[in-house]
This record gives sequence, structure tokens and C-alpha cells, in this order.
Amino acid sequence: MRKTIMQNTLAKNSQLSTLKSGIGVTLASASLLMLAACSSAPKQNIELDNTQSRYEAIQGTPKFREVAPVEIEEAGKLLKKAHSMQAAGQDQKAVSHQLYLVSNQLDIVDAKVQRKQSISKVNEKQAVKNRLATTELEQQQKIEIVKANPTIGRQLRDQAQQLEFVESSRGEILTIDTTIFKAESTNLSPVGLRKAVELAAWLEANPSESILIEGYTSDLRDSETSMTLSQERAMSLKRALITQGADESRIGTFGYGQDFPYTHNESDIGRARNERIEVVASGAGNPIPKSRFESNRISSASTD
Amino acid sequence: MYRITCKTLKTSVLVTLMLVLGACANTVARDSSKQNIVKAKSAITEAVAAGATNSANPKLASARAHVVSADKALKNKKYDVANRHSELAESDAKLAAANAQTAIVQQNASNIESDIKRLKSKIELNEQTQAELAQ
Repeated sequence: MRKTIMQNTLAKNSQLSTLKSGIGVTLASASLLMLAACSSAPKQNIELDNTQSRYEAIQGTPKFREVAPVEIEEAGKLLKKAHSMQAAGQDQKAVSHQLYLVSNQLDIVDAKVQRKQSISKVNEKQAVKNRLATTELEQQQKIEIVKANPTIGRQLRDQAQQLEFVESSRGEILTIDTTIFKAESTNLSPVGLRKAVELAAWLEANPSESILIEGYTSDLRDSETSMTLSQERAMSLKRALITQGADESRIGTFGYGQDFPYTHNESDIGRARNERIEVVASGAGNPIPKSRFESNRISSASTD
Repeated sequence: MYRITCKTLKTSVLVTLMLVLGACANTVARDSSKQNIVKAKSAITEAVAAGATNSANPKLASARAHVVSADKALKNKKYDVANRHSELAESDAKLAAANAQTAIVQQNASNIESDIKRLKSKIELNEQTQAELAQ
């Protein structure tokens, strides 16, 4: 019994080794066949594959299709021709030539898309540039006026130091021009910081007064931007006052955007006057003044 | 005698016909090569009009080189070669034109950006001047 098992095992082993050598021969002949297949070639063209993937990536991007549909279609036609040349087993140089044309065409698509992006950037930045140019011009004019007439300069300065509130139907109002802010910004300029110190000092000297800080703009920007800018400038001044030690509960803010212009918006000077902050004083013992809208609603009979 | 003459005549007519046809085919190939070169040259002219230069647009230089090669091949009656060069020249020239147009717009964008920078620093300077004047 044991002997038969041994024999069986031996027989199996020899079968196994025959099988192994058989596999070896098969592998060797297979690799030879593969080599032969490679040299005779219904081949792969890596350049063609790469160009195909690049085309697909461009074709699959909606933004590209939107900007350069004709150019992409042309690239597709050229690429199709490359494929049929490859399938027909044409000379690799000829296929490569065709792929060069495809690649140039795809570069044209890229160039057109980049151009489109730059054009929208130009449009966007042009508006910013125009705004800054206007601001700069206004500053120059103001500087020229003060330089040409030092008395006016002194008057402006005295006025600033005394913080002259002007009597109006809405109570006492202090009008401040927007040089207290940095251009196109809600941050206070050096002039503005000084103004904040003075205003905080005034609040300290008049402890029974409350104030409403109101922001106004010209029509230089769209109405939404104007609205936000006027609101944020008013809040920025309020924050500066709080930093200077003023009591938060005595200060209200409101932004009107382009509403209630001081004067017309037809010249740079007119617009510069419309861009302003008005500080409305409550009068001794009164709460924070209401905005123009609320005060109108409450006392609609009064003519403001 | 007559028969032979007739045969010779037939042969010679045939040969002449073939020659004429061959020449015709040759002329057609030459003309179409010439046309392709003209197309390539006008694409180069357009690229130059769009602002392309050899130094800024290597593809324009490449297009010009291909046109030279195409002209040479045409002279040597290698029409296939001439056509290949014309095709490459036209393609390169069109890309050079597209690139040149894009470069101009990009230059515009960067000019505006530096204008903005300049204005911003000018405005800051003005603010300082105003602050000094107010003191």
C-alpha cells in the first residue's frame, strides 16, 4: 500500500516537471511571437493617443466650447483624419505631420480662450482704473485750491478744529468730506483719524448728546456699491470713535448711498461734495436721531 | 508598307497622348502646389498684420522657413514635399496670428494693472499732502 502511494507521488512529480518545462517552452515561444507582432505592427501611436486625450479634455470643457466652437470643430476634423491615416497603416511620418496640424489647432483654441479671459479682465480693471483716476483728479483739485489760497486752507483747518455743527431743520449737523477715508476704501485716512479724535473729544465734552453718523455717495458707482460704501463708511467712523473711548450706545449709523445728494452730480466738484459724512446731533438729553426715512415717516407733516 | 506606317502612326499618337496627359497631370500638380504656397504666404501676411514677429512668435519663423522649403521643392518639381511644407507653414502662421492677438490683449491687461498700481500710490501720496496741508 505504502509503496503504491510512493509510486504515485513519484509519478505526479515527474508529471509536474514535464508540465513546468512545457510552460517554459510556451512562455519562450509566446514572447518570440509578441516580439514578432511588435515589429510587424498593427501598432499603437503614443503621439496620437496623447493628442486624442488633449482634444477630449478641451472638447469636454464647456468654457472652451463656448469660446472657440469653430476652432475645436476644425481640430476634431484634423484629428479624425490622423486616426484614419493611422488605421490605413500610413507612414508614421505622415501621421506625425497630421498630428502637428492638430496640435497647432488646439494651441489656437488655447490662445483664443486666454484672449477671452484677458478681455474680461481688461474690462473689469478698466472700471477700477477710471474710478481711481477720478479720485486722484479730485484730490489734485482740492490740493491745488488749498495751495493757491492758504487762507482757505486755514479756514478749512479752523473749521475742522472747532467742529462747527450747522443748524438745520433736522437739528445740528456736521458735514465732513470723504478725505477722512482712504480712496475707494472704508478705512480712515490720516485726516480721518484726526477727525475721529476731535469728534470723540466733542462727545466727551457734550455727554448728554447722541449722534447719528450718516454716509452719502455721489453717482460714481452703481447704486448697490454706493449703498454698501456709505453704510460701511459710517460704521467705520463709529468704530474709530469707540476706539477713542466714545460710548457705543450714543452713536447710530445710517447709509443712504446716492440718495439725498448735497448738490448736482454733473461735475467732479459736485460729486466730491456729495460724497460726504453728515453727523446729526440729537440735542441735549435726546436719543440718537432717526434717519431721514424714519423721521419723515414719523412726522410726515413737517417739511424738511 | 502602308500597314506599318499606320501602326507606327497609332503608336506615336498613343505615345503623344500619354505624354500630353502626363504633362497635363504634372501641370495640375504644379498649379495646386503653387496655390498652396500662396495660401501659406497670405497666412503669414495676416499673422504679421496681427502683430506677430519672428522674435516674439517662433511659429512665425517656422512658417517662413517652411515656405522657403516649399518654394525650393516646387522648383525641384517635388510637389508632395512642397505641399507638406505649405500645409505646415499655413498652420504655423495661423497659430502665430492667434498668439500675437492674445499677447496684445494680455499686454493691455498688464498695462492697466500697472496704471492702477501707479494711481493707488499717487492717491496715497495725495492723502499725505492733504493731511500735511490740513495741519
